Amino acid sequence: MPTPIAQNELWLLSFYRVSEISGALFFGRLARTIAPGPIQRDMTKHFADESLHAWYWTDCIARLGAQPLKLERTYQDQYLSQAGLPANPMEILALTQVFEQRVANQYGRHMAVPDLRPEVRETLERIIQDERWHIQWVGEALVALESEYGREEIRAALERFRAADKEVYRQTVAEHEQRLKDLVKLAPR
Amino acid sequence: MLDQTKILEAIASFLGRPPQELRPEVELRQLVAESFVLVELVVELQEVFQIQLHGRDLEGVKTVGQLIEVVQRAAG
Repeated sequence: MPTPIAQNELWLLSFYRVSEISGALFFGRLARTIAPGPIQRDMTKHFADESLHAWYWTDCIARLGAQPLKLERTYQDQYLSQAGLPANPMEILALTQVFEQRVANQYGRHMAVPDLRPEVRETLERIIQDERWHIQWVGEALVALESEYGREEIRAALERFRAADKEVYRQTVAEHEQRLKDLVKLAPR
Repeated sequence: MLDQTKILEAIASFLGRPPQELRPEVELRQLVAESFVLVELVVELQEVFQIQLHGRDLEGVKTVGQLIEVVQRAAG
């Protein structure tokens, strides 16, 4: 019989779940608003992926015999507080690129936790595959937008969101030090 | 210059509220529960009025009136 899930682990899986839900809602809304074209197409797929990921975490938590915790403030909310609103499709994609890199890094670090439960490992593996495509399509879309916004403008937006990401990650780790301690001690940031 | 009423109507339509509720001094945060909805609103205004906004344009924008001014400026 597997050991019951610890509160810290449940918090982290619930945090992943709610972040995926927020991502899905965000991309779903934007996919509805943004002009038709390749970006709309890929953003709609991205929305579908994030929805599925939220389901994967919900199912994973259930298979571990627990229920998701209700968490109010998501990582994405903190991004916007820190960096300000992205104002156009290019800035949204720049923010997305930085965020997806953070997610991939975080899930990768989680995979390295010793004695990972099979349910968690399987969920991480499924999601990480999609994250690779997310980073790829957003990167390609940003290159395609260079003619419209200029390379320098895109570089500045990425820099702005990377600075915000660094600060939000630092704050999150400081705030939830105990919950994240197994991950924090594993690998360089 | 782009008509203020048209912008107000676009904002009201997006938010599903009567335009008369959206007085210039009303804070945008009072109208939307999540920041992401504001992002969607800003993208919608760019689509509707064929303008391009940047993050720097929105710095310090807190009210309906300020958002209308930003859209007007971008439209020229």
